[in-house]
Amino acid sequence: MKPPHRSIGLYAIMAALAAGFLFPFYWVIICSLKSPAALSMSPPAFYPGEVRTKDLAVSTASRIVIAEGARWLRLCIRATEHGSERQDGTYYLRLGKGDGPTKLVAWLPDDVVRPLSDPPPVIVFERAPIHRLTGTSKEVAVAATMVRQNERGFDELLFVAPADSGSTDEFAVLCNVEHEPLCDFAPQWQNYSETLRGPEATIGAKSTGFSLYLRNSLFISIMAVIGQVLSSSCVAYGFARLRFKGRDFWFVLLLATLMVPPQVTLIPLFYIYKSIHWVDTFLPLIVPHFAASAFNVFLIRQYMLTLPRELDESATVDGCGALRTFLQVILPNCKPVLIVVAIFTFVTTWQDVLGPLIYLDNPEYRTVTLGLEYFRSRFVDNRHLLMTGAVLAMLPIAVIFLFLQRYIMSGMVTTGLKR
Amino acid sequence: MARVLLERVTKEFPGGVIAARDVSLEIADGEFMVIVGPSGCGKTTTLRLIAGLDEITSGNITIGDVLVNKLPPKDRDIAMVFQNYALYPHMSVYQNMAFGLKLRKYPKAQIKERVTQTARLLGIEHLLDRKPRALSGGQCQRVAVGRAIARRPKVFLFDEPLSNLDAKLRVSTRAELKALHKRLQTTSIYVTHDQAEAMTLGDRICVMCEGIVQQVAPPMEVYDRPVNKFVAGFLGAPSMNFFAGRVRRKDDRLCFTCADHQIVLPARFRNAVEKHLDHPVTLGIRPEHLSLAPYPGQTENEISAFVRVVEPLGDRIDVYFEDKDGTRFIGNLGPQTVLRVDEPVRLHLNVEKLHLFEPAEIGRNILFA
Repeated sequence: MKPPHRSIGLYAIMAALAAGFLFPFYWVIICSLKSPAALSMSPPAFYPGEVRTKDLAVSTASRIVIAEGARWLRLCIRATEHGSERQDGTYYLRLGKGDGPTKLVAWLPDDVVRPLSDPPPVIVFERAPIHRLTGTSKEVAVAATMVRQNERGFDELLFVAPADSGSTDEFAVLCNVEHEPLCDFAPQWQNYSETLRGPEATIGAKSTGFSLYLRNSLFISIMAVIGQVLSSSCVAYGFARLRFKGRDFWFVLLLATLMVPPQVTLIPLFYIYKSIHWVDTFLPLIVPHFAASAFNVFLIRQYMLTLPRELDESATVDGCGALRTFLQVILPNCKPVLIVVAIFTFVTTWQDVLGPLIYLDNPEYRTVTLGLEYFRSRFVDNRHLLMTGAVLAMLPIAVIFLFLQRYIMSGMVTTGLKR
Repeated sequence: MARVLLERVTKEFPGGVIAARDVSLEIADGEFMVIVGPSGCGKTTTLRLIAGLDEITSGNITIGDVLVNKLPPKDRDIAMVFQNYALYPHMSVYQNMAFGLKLRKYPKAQIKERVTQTARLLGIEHLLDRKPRALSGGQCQRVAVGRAIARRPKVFLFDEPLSNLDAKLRVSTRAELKALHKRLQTTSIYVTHDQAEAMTLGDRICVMCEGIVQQVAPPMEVYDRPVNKFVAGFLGAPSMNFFAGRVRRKDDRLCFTCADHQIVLPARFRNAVEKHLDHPVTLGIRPEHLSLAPYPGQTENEISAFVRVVEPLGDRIDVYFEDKDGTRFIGNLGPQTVLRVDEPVRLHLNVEKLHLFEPAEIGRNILFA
């Protein structure tokens, strides 16, 4: 027995390592349950809480006015202070230089605009706040609004009007201002249903929905697994057991293809697939898996070499040909390594971004990895939904790991027949 | 049931290694032939050639009346038991035993009957549903034998089937195999490196060395009348003692002299030995044919030596001696013998049992040539 204080130290270190390892998973899960405002909080919170904000609805013909040697943004306030009375008026936002929050400091003299009641509210814009842009009466779309530095060193407020909002002069900006610290634990479960409706649905457009992406990814991954297991084990059997001229040479050549970075073959492959009209179909993502991969062949072959040759010979004496020996004797005994190959293939195919990005165009064919990207674009930034999508994308892999971890751990070290 | 005939069978592996050279061997119908030899002697290769797992380079192999040189293993009607049993790990014992029958398209009912019958014969009925990994070594071995028997082939081939068992189990399984063969009367070819297995199991023994058949004969004949020094030294534990010396004529009698030993050869050896007079020869004597001289100096054919190591084995004592020249040799003495280490002793040789060989590595036996 070790003295207890020693094992305490050991356990502390292990717990710390485990926590460090699990933290990213924890983070993505809580982020998926945060509201957009909570997600853009700085510093970020460690739990999905509710952000109390003083929202300001602004209707503006957002014009930039130059007065008193400064640039001002004219904002016509139609409603203000979330939940409280209306305070109409026109605010001017001075567009200044500098890093700090741009503040609405004052209103200009009467000849330019009518002053508002005392005291002037202070609107603090975050460095890149997210605003919900609303129409005069109902919510129409989401657009990004940001404070950005241009070449001349000035901060500039960019309001982006939605395409179908009608007049560019008449729309409202609901600003999340004056974030208060997070309070209650308030997970936003609706993030999930919102994500499942698809990225286009967040701006009110028709979307194929996230579940289709999951189905597409699942289909491609399962086909890839079937292809890899069948083809790689066939090739591996050939290299492990059959005798043919130059076998070792061909095997080394096969392994040498591992050294070729996939990026090198990317463009030639694209042209090949284009010439046979496979672009924008699943075929370029599935068919190559039916032609084995060097790494999987290597893995399976090494495993087959650990199976005693007497097993084959015994099958031969019993009356098996090469094919039957492979199917009925060798393959069933390769189960651990085949499971490892299946898992590897599934995970890499599931995670693949580049392939689908290059070959798929039709929204109907989007995979999960591709679909995730559409939650963020130039004008839309739904990072909370992106996080939710990431959690959804992670689920199948996590399930696989839970159920098959025994094989993942033992796949490479299983010793075959030795007891 | 069939006779197996090997005629000048040679196997040359790519790279020029000749594993079997001109092997000619006839195994009669129902005979239990044991092929024995040190590792690398070509015994397993010979078995694999008969099985068809390796192709022969030249020569002929006939099983029954069929020339099988080009026949694949499954058409040779043989069954093989491997050293590591080679049971199919993913199949139950029943499936293992039924696999060969299934491939030969036997009807299901017949397969079941055969397998259960075989299992009963071997006492493994209760194991039929188990997977091989749930079996002990001895049980695996039985299943492997069962798999061979269930097929009822013309010839059984055994490739060191007992070498993975512990010593005690090996002895009992050996006896069972022998009983089984007596019952089934199937031609069997059994490869082993263990000379005790060879002696106990074989109707005849084939001793091989360096790919060449040295001697084929019933066990006791191989033991008593080895054709050469290799066979003499290979069979028997502890192995035969050898003394290098010369044959000289002394007072009209022929003597073997070596160091200060002088052994008078029996008169019946005269014809065989005469032409080796004054040439170097090797004398071989088995440990059990040495004994302490009851009256030292009184009889002929004594040699003097020092006791070096004493190994009491219960039923006998193995004593390692060293003579004046530094030649070491072993004697089996009675269990009551009391000897001290480094004690000088006089040993009596049973001259009727000695052998004389030509001095080469595989020197011919001069007496039986």
